[in-house]
Amino acid sequence: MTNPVDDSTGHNLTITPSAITIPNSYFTVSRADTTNMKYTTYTFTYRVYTSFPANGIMTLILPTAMVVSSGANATYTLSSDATNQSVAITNSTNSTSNRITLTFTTATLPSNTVFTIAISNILNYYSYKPINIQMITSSSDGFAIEQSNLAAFSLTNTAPDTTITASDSNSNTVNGNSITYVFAIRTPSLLYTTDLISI
Amino acid sequence: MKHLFTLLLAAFITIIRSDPQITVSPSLNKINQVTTYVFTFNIGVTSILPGTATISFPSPAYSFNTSSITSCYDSTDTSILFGCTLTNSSAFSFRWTSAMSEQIFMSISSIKNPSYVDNYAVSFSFVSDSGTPFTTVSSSINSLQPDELTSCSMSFSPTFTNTYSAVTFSLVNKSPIPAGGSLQLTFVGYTPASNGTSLSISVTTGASFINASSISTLIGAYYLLANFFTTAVPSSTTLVFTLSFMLSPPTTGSSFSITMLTYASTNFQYKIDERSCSISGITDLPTPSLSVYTSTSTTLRVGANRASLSMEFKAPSLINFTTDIITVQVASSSSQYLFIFTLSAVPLSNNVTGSSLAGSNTTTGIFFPNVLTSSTISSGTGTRVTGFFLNTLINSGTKTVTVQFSRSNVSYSSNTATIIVHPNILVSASVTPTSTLVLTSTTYSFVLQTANPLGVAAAVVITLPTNVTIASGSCSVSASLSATSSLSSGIACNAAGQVINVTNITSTIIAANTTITLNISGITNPAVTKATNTFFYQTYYGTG
Repeated sequence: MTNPVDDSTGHNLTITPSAITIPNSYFTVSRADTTNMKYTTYTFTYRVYTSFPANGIMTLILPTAMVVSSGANATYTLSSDATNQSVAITNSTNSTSNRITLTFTTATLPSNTVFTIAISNILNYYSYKPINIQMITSSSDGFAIEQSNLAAFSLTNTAPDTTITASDSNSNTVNGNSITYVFAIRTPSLLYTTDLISI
Repeated sequence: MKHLFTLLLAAFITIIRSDPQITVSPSLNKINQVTTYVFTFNIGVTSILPGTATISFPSPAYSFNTSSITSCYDSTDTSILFGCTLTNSSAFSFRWTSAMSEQIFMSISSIKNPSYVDNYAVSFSFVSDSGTPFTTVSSSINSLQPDELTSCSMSFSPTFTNTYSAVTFSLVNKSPIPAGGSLQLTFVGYTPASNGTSLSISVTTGASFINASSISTLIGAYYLLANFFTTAVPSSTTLVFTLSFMLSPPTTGSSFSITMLTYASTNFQYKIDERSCSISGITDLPTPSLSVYTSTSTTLRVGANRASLSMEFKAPSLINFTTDIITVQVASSSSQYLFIFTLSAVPLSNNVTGSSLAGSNTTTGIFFPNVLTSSTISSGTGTRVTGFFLNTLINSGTKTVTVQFSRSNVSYSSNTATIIVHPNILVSASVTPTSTLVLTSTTYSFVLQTANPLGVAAAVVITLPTNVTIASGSCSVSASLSATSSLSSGIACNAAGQVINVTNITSTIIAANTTITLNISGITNPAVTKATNTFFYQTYYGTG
């Protein structure tokens, strides 16, 4: 058609898409050691829901306390390629979270492609508190594509990471007598005024 | 006595004898024609003395042989024959007997006219049998006419009016042309003023006959080419030659011609063949520096009511409004949507003599002046004309404006200019997908409010930004109008690449400020959460 009457010149007609939340089963996390405050290797399994862009980025959001050692490295395999490959890893920490960023060099990957990612030297949380880990995929220029439900996955440590000794400092050890015990505790980390010690 | 007798005899002779007389004319007057010559001879005496009359023709213009005089008879009674005999190659004689009258009318055939026009004197002499010579008298044949060239034609290059052009002539002569002959070109209908440059001659056909160095002389409407034919040209010879820098006619009319005339001599005496050749194929001189425009601060948009226009040009020649008019009109394809009309006066630039000119409307434009005046514009004068206005436009695009200059209703210059009409801007527009999730196929709601009316079967074209996609082919649309009664039941949707065409939206004309809502399903969001480029809407008028 030729010779239009009116047009939308000057009108800002744009939309901004929003990231899609993948099903809970599409993202899982496991680790070699569940001891509090212990550095261990984490394994993240991610199934692509829509697509993974070429040279895409994966961001893992962890609690601040789950720091990543400077010696950490990340490798991955794909369901379509069992070759174990390295992936560039960076992380940044603020008062609310620790973000691990993995920058891949893959081609565009279709839905149902499974990433199995191993990252070493991640510090387990310092308590048995359940923590949530979220994953977000982005394009190479940083625009989000799909994300896991923040509440979908949580981890809980199971092993203690501290020692305690108790000693009887009294000379009278008759049963039934009230005596004073001295407990010596090696603190696992910085104690906050809000922290509790339960014996 | 003897003296008295002599006087009486002389008186007797004086009384009864006067000088002979002759009239002569050919029946056919063109050169080289073989025809019957009609004579009137009067012997000058009533009492006939028998003798021999001799008719002499100028030589070598006339050349007889034994077969030339085939018949010699009384013009009034063809049964009466005179015994004409050749005395030499240019004369014949006959007996004037006493039985013949003082005056006889004689027709002689067949005599060939001379090969060129001149006054030819034919003499009549008589000697009686007794040896008395009568006075020789003569009569001129001055009725001969040139014959006609077998054919002639010409073409101008360039073909523009009022332009110094190379003119290629093609002619076929009927009659031979002797060496040294000349050529005359007579312009009919206009005077071909010289540009100060002598004509140059180039010959395409017949180079052995034409003197390419012939000097041309322009006298009024005549071009004279002396000694044009360097060697004798046989009859029925085709000659093609080009003369440069001849001024073309002032208009494209059909009334102009050039008469070509060959002469037997260098000095333009003795006509041979002549023919009038029409000048055709002359086209309008492109009007220099023509432009039509709106005010530089105005972007001409659809819906502009009575936008002011100006026109500029350089006068292609002297424009004299006692005979000339200027017509401004729009090409027929867009005349439905664009109409130029003027106010009552059209002021011209200050370098034009005369006062402002009034114009009149036509169905496709205007012309001025509508009353001829004595105003003039000198040739080459840069001229601005204001006072044009556009009617309300109903769609955009490049509109072609044709300006034509005419003299006495015959055009002589024209050119085209364009004005660009831009679409107007929608009053409002929005785009809302039902779902914004990446890579999700969803329904988009496109809402637009028109700035201008739309006709029946109006259309909307939506161009999607990159990464928003729809399958090519038929698409599903649900539409509504704020003017609900104008919604067509036959709306169609078709997608091709990034473009969605929604057609046949309206069943009647809808006014400006009408809101159109188009809900189209099956559009897929981009794959990432980056803001898209802009969607683009265009409305199209339809019909009516």
